Amino acid sequence: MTNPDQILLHDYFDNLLSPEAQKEFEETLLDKIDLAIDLGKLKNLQRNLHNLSSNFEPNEIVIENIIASLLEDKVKIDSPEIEVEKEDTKRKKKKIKKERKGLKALTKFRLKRLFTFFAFLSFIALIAAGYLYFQKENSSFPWEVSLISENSSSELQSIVSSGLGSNAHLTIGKDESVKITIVNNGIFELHGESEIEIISGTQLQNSIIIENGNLEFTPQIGNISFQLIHNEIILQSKNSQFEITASNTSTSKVKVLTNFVDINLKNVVSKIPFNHTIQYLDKNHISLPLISNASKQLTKLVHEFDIKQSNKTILSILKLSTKKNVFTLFFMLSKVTPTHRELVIEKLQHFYPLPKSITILDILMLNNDALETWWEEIYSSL
Amino acid sequence: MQHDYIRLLIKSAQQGKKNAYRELCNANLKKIYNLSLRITLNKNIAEILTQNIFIEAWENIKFLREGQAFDIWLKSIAVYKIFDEMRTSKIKNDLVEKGIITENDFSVLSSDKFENLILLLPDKERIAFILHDIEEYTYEEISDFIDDMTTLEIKNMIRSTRNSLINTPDYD
Repeated sequence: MTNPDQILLHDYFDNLLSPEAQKEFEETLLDKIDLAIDLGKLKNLQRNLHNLSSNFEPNEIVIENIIASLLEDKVKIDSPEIEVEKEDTKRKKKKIKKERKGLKALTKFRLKRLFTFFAFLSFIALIAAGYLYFQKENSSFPWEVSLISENSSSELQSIVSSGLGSNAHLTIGKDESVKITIVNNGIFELHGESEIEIISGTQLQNSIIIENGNLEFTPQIGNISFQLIHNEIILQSKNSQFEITASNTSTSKVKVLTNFVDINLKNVVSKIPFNHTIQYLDKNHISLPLISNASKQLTKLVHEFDIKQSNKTILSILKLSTKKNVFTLFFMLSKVTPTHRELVIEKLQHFYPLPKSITILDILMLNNDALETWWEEIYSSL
Repeated sequence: MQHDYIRLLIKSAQQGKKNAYRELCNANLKKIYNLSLRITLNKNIAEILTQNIFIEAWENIKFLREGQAFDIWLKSIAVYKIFDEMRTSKIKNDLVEKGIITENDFSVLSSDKFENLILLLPDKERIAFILHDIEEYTYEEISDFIDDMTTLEIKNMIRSTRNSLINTPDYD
């Protein structure tokens, strides 16, 4: 690497520059847009690495081997594969013994086979019935569109009369507004320059992609099946009212008005409760949720945290947070290092003690079930 | 900073309580296994290495100073053992001899697309990148492990790995 700008960029990123050189570099960034973009990419890389979970699961026998060795059993520390082979041999020996039990066993076996056959037949019948039911429920039907704005294009008027089906695109202009009714599911309104695509519109699943625009969704009681995709983030309404300001050129925002919404990011689901707003940081990252009446100072700190999780910012957020900011703190848990996580847990516990069924260690280890239990506990006491 | 519960487990393990050590193993097993696997790229070798790392840590836990972070201490043992294996190929040769793995069984794929970009890097680049950008080792510390490269060469290599990762079409 010989480009002096690139060397400086990585030195800055690695925190190897003196405070003066750091400041000078930050000023350079204002003039050199390419360098600023590269820095953004590096920070994104750092965030991805920070979120990189331990995806590989060791064989269960690994821990048993360790403990067996500590207990000074004469267990040889072999490859788990050898252990599996040993297990197989044991199983085979047992099987041979069983076979020697004679006629009784044979009768038992025949009965078992007969039972399995009937169970299989029932299973096939069940699947066929399920398939027919699914076909019936999954048949798509058009969504009703009605105009809210007085003036509208002829194109929009023709959509209003024919309705919207699967894979349809809808683009509305600056001064146009429409109301779309999804039967037995909910209603959403689109205001101003908006662009959506319908992925599916069935009784089981209603799903749209929003490219940009302002959308407000109001569910009908019992609805659980409306999902909205923006960039690479899937938002699922849990019988909840929400609004989104989606944009491809600036920051998109989601405000949850009732209940909570699920935000699915690369199969990791976060539940954002009512009265909270999140921002899209880029195509597949979201900010910490902020309660609608959060103080200006805390809002500023949370924005700083979304860019860089510095020690100073984290400590300031912890200091400023009150009980109403509990979900901001809760979502910090997975975004900070274990050292800071311990402080966040301490602060959260001050407002909402951990349920008895989970331990601090579970939360420190970001155990999903434990996090879910605590979230439910906090949410139900709101 | 360590949580009280972890401190209690360490203290109990130092007094010879194996159940406490089992808890510590459980809490760190996946992390150590993933580190071993990302470097060795072979599940069998990574599993045996993980076992050996925890056994060595148990034998030396009395030397863990009060206030010293267990996970960082354990990671240093892990990195030492992993590099020992990379140098000597002791476990690898043993497994090849037993016919459990072959000389070419060295590729692992993750369900995570981003992780696969790292796993597909050439050996030296992958190892140095993992140690620096994931495990937070310094360039100087890494040069202690990679004998045939200077700190500057390692630094340049890691930085061009970063650049190649962020400019890969598959990335984000």
